[in-house]
Amino acid sequence: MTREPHARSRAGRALVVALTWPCLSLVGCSQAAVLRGRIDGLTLDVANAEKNGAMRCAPRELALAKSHLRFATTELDQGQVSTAEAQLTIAEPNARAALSQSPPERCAERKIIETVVVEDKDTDGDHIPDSRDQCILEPEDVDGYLDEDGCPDPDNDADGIPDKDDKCPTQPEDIDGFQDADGCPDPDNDNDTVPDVDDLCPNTPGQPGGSKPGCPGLVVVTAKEIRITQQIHFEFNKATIRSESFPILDAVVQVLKDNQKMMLEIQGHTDNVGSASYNQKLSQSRADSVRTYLIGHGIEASRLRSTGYGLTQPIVPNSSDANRALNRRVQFIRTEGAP
Amino acid sequence: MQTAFKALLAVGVLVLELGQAGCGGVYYAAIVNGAASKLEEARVLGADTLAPYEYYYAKEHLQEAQIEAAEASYSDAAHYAQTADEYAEKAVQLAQAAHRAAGRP
Repeated sequence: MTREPHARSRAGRALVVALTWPCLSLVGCSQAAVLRGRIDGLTLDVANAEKNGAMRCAPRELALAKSHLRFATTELDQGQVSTAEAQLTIAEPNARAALSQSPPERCAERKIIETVVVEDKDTDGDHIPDSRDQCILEPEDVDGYLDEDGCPDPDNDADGIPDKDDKCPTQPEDIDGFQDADGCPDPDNDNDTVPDVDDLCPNTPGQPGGSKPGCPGLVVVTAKEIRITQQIHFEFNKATIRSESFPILDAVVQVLKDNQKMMLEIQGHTDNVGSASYNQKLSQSRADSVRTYLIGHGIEASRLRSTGYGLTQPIVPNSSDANRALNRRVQFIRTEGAP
Repeated sequence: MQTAFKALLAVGVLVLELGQAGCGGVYYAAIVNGAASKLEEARVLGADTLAPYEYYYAKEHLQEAQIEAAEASYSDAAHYAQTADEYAEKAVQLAQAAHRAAGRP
């Protein structure tokens, strides 16, 4: 009587086991089959990735995918379903990544086109390769002038003066006898604003226009004086101005009219012929005569002073007729700036 | 003769049984240290960028070998360690070749 319940209990447990075991086996088998299918799918993905060039484009992902697929397969073969599944959780994303990161158009193996690289030498060492160097044996002189052709240009402006001596290496010298060694052109040698090409007196400052452009007129105004280009002539031993000198004096008048602030000392000088007192008196009277002429032509007397210096200030020794002629002179010295 | 044959057979069976029973651990231990050294050498040579597939394949296998060994599954551990050793060696060689090609010692 007392054994009956126990007998029922044992029978019940046996029944539970008998029913559960096949079910568990079925579940385990189906799970293994699913994993097997996943492994097969991923193996296919990995194979495709490898074919597309994953070795180059996704090597790490490919390595992880293949490794963990192998581990999963081994575990599954040993019945370790959960461990196999854990391995697949690593293999799967890596397999997908390997496949997606390896598009065949970018990663698949291509035919290698062998390119022959020809070394481009620089024979003259001017850093311009021979292929572009028009003078492979002569190094370029890098001076900002035609530096790309590889050829030196020792005289950039071709004026015959080497660049090393040429103050203006890119402007050719105008060989005209005036400062020709410096290499710089001098388009107006005398700086009189008349270009040398038009200047009939290119080395002497002059006036523009007229019959002789660039040549000095009858007078030249400097900072110190009104320089006359012809001497004023007087009657012999007199203070009478000869008529041929009127144009010169008229030119002086014009300068004074054009420059109202200008003031002059009219100086009379003689040579050493005769006594000093005589020459003093003659030079004074001749200076006075010139002053009178200027006043007579409209110049205020207050702007003019006349002084005779006699023979005291020769500009050259009185050693010849020519020199004595030079010493006989009238000068127009500017005094407006004098204290 | 029969006695001698039986004795040899018994020794062979014993060796196999020992191998199955856990002497795989000795084999694993012999390999895994070499594989680890080679993998470290590969890492120092920059194989993770110069030979990434071989380097990571070896690395994963070495890690898995160590996991299997920790679970006393020495047979699998030895196989994985063997693979790790093989690929670590490839990674070292590829990295060295890349250095040579780049003109580095």
